[in-house]
Amino acid sequence: MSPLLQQFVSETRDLLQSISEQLLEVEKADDKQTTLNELFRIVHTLKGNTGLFEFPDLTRVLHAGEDVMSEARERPEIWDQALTDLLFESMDYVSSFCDSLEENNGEPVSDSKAATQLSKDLRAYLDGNNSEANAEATDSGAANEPQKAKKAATKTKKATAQKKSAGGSSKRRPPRAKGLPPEHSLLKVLPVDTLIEAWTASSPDEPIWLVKYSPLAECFFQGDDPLHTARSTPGVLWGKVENACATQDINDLDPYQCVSTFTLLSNASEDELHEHYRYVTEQTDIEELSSHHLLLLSGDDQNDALPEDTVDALCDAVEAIQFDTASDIATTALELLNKDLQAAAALRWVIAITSDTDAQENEAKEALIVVCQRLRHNQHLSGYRFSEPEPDEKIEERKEEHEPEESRLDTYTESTTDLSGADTEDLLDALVEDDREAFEHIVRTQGRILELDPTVDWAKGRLRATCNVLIKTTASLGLSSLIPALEEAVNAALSGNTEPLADWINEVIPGACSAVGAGSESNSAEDESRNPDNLDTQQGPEDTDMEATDISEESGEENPDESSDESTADEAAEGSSEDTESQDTETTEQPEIQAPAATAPVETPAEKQTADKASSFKPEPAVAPSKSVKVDQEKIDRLMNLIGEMTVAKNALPFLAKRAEEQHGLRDLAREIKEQFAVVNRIAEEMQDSIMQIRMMPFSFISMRFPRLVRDISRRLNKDVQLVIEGEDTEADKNIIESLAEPLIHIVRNSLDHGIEAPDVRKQKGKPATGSLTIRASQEADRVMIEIQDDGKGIDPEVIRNKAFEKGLIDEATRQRLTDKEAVNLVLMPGFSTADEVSDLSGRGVGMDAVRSAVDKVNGTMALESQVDKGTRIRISLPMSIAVTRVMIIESDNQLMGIPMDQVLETVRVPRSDIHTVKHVKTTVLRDRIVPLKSLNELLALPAEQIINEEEEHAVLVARVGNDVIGLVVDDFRGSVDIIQKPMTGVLSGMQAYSGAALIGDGSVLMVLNLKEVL
Amino acid sequence: MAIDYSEERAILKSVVTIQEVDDLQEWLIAHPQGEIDLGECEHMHTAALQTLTSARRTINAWPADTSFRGWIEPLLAKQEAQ
Repeated sequence: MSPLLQQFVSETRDLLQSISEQLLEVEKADDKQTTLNELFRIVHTLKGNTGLFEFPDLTRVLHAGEDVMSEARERPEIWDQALTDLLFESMDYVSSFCDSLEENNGEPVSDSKAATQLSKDLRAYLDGNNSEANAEATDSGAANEPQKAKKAATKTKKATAQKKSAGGSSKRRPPRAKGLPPEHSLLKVLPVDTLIEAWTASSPDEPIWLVKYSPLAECFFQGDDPLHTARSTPGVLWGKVENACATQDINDLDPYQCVSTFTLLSNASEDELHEHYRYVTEQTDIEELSSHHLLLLSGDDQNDALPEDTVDALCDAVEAIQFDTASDIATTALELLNKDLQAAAALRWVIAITSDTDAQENEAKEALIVVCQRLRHNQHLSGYRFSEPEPDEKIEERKEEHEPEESRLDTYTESTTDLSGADTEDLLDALVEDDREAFEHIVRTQGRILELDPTVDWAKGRLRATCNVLIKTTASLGLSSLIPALEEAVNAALSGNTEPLADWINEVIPGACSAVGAGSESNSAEDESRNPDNLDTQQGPEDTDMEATDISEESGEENPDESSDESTADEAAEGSSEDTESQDTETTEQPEIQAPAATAPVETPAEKQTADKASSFKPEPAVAPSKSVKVDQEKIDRLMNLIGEMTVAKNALPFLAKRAEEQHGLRDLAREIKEQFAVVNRIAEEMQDSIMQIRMMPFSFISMRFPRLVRDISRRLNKDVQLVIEGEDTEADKNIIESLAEPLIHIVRNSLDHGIEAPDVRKQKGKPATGSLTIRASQEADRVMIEIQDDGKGIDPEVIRNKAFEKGLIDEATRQRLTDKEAVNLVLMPGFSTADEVSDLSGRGVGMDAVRSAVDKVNGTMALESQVDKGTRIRISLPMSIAVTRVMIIESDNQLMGIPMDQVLETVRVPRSDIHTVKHVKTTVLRDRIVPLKSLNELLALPAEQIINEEEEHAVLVARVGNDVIGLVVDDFRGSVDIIQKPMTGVLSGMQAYSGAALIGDGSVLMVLNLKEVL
Repeated sequence: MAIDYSEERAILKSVVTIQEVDDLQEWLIAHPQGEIDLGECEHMHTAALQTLTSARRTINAWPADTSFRGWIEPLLAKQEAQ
């Protein structure tokens, strides 16, 4: 694994930890915003890091997570527990990914499916909430209503498309609308030739993709050429570049800032596209379209371009699947037609589709129907009832799948044909809910526009825009019966009397317009103010404002850009309600600012998001250089070993001094050596201390995983638990802390599972519904105490006693004798906990002996206290460091041996007369307690008797081994010393009697006894 | 060099890289009436395209590669019209 990758894994782990902390924080915090921001930042960083490597799965999950967080940042209300769960799951995925990275030496075995599922789930969350948000947005009724409605429609469409693909079969099928697929604003501006070309090139079964790529401004510095990336997109059918450079003076241009955006159509597979844009996924938005989306009639709008009977004949031919006839009709009609008209585009479509030999008959018919419907729509003709082109089950299936579109089409055809006699209210009722809402908003807004000051310069253009919006909206919804009245009103309005129009609006939406017909006479100063620059700026939004653009054709006198300008200004005016003048000036002066603002409405949500993200993250806060250094543990261990040797070496100096004095009689030299020793000693000790400090880790290293653990378990068990962690900064040696992790998790899990009761049970017992679990770490002298306390139901000692007795772990006498406290501690005995018992018991004791042995391994002790219905408390006491052990040196049979100081209770001299034999065991009474005595020589099978001193006393070392106290008879005591214990290696490692060996100052080896094994 | 400069026109050839953008910009500033010949141009870096867009010059010849032309024409032709 490369160092970079190693660093990545280690950083990822850290970031994951912060993420999980923040996630928990979000659930608790009142002020979610700050936490969400922080959370987003971390996920963003993490995702950014993954960009260094080629882990598409990982990036995909993180990208989805990032998007969700970004959404949540804007609207914290979407946050709920399910989302937290999902995010936790995603973080687990990332974590396991890191594991596999490490295990497989940089070649992760990644579960692609899981990644895709996670990112889908996350995104589904995003979409689901998005459509709601749009409904709200539409409600808020702001200035640019039409755009918003359109945007909402696009979004919803996208959302449904994605949902379908998420839930649907593995073979993706593009959402094929049976009716008119929504007109995509971006596609609508394409010349029909391009559209036809793209349509011919794509298969009807395969989706095509609309890719929007907005590279970062600084991408050139990363060696990117976005134009090249876009051009080399697989399966590209059409593409365009957009930038606002034209409005910028060449002198001021910074060519190294990328300001271009790219839009393209591709018929490659989704995977290919993702692969192609894998380095810039954040900046790309890939939208799925069906080939029917291409069937658009671009060009100039003209109502009566084609005679109705021609259109009917065309439709008949299509209906009868007489494609040759249709083609002939189209060819003939096309010759007579202005090629720039939308009607001409439709005819060209007909010709193209009928001559496309690859297309299946039914596919072609479907496409033709769409074209014909669009043509009729465009020519303001009533709908034509086409029969289903393909009457088999597939169609049925599809029909069901696409219920919404289906019903929309029905409404469309019906409302255009049958509703001529119905009144407005019924007409509106017949609309699909969404359409109706959008329609009402649009009309209402236009009403408000009519109310605006009619004396301003641009009032006339504004009025035109309004009329146009109304006509188009009404027509597009097929409310043809409303059109005649509207047209009249519009004509009146354009000739100076807006009253009929206001009336019409009020008729459709009562109370929507309070404008009184004040004829706008102000068409005089119409055109002067526009300079070319200004026009240019406004070209961006021309596709948004199709309605507005169209009007100029109808009136046939104005430059399309101009009216587009007007309507944009109008809508802006509607937003700020006044001061349009200043807005205009602004536009002229700062085109480069205005341009993106003007294009904003066309942006799809994802794009916008990306833009937001980009803008909010450009000034990445400077990260202060980290003060900590990550060092491999091996290096510290090596330091540790070296200082150990150093200690031994320095401890040899007093021996040297002694020799100099005694053997060579050099007292001065001996003194000097001793002085020197004092200096070296001080330095060595400090050094040792510092090295120990390096190995010290705060308790928080393990405690930080508890909040998540507690949350997960309590959620699963439906319990309410409040976790309190105290003393997180208590430090202990790394090994100790790490060895604690597993046991503590075990204990916490036990507490939650079996200790703390369900909320209703707790209430019955008169306890607060929320249980509490406290984990407390503290330092007592050179030991670390960990205390885990819950207020659950506790352990019933009687049950334990009986179980232990049944299990044969204690005899009848012990059973009677044991105090409650001792009984409870029986759960710690090895062999006590097995599965069948656990279910009968309160359950406490699952693997408690495992916990205990883990604690034992680091020379810790543990005790358990419990009171029925009050709770349980487990106390674990651990040495702060296992690197340096203090041992008592004893002598036996002329050998020196060490006994760990923490096992030594006291050292006493016991007169031989005080030793009695009870049941073949030598005992003595110490402080009113019977202490069994064992001779060390005997235990170690040394053939010597223990030596007695002149007063006929035995040297007895009283030690605690487990819960027993025994007296160890030795020859002599030699005081205590700090040693660095080394485990036994090689053949010696099999000798259980010794826990390790150490060098002492004179260079000899001291064996450290493992009393537990010896006895 | 993928760009040949003369007094009245800049001829872009094969692939125009970002390294040439500085020169191109200088030339465009120095020759406000200078025209552009893209006839032999196969690709230009986005930065070059942006520079040309900003310069709003007459394009004498469009790239032979129609797909490339399709990408850049709407952007560069717009200026020509004005």
